[in-house]
Amino acid sequence: MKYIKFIFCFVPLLLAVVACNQEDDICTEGGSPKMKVKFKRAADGKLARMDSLTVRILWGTDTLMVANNSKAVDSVMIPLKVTGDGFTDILVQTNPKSKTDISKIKVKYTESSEYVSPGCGIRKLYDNLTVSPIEGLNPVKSVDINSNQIHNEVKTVLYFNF
Amino acid sequence: MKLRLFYTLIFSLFISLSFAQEKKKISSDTLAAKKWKYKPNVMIGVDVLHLGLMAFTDQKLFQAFATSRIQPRLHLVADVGYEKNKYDKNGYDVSAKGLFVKAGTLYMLSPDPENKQNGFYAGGKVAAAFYQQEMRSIPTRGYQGHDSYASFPTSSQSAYWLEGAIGGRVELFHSNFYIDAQVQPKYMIYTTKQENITPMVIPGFGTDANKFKLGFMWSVAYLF
Repeated sequence: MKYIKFIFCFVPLLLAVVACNQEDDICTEGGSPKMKVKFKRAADGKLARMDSLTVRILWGTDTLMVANNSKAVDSVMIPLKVTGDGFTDILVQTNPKSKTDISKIKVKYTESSEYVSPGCGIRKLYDNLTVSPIEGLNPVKSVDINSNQIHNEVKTVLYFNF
Repeated sequence: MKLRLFYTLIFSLFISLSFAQEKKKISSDTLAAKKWKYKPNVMIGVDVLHLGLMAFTDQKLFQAFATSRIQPRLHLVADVGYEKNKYDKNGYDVSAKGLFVKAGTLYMLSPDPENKQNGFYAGGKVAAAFYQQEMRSIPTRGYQGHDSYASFPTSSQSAYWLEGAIGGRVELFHSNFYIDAQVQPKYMIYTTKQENITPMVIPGFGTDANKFKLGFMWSVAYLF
């Protein structure tokens, strides 16, 4: 009879262990790193805090909002495409209502893939980063490259000069 | 997964309750051990539950076992099987098919005094799977759900794990046929990987990336 008690105790314990296992759809290790961008005043080259900033990226036929009229920001984390295209177009404006004062910045890079975990899947790492000439020099006058690779989200990659 | 857990619980309760009403004669195992002489005996069983479920699920699992009683309470056991299964979830589309083998021992915890093949048992096995894996889609998470997917060619992989066995066996109508129900907690020890990617389907072990799994068998067996 003691074995019956043993089985009655042991089987629910096993079920509990299995039920508590991690799910495969939760990504805790982090996916592809975003690009960290800070801002400078073009006049004196000093770091700046933007009163208002709107940033979007073009992803195929979609335009995805990254920062929607954010106030008093000193940096922004911009996601890059993971599609293997080798570039991401970024739209920047300081006046969210303006239809004309929009700077389009094309960032080019080479992508490499790295498997992370079942939950995160594969992530992209970006190297040999370059910036094409800006379309629309208002509000962003120029771009400085601080690092030409993105393997984490710690280092500032670009400075937008306003 | 919930369906499997439910079945496991039901079969465990069923077997437990089936034996709960039996009156046991107290026998001296020590005496029995002294008199014990091995006579060739083999029981072969086929997992009929998974055989029946094949028509209704993506999992195509055939597994069979052979046991031989080598000591009064100790049985050698070997399992062999073939499984074809797929994992199609969270951006993954992976399938695998291949053979698996297991070997180990079972210890009769409460053998029936009248038929030593009847009773509850517990034991352990070592297991290995050798299979073909096809990764049609592995996700790269993109911004706001704009994921992209990578595919890889078919490759040969292997996996090795330890497995517990907790179950019961009962004779059917005083014949040589038996019903054997077994719960199998499993722990993955080692698995080969393609492009360092954790395999999501391993024949004989299960689907998804968890190292702990709980399997089960419900078999009809014949004692030769």
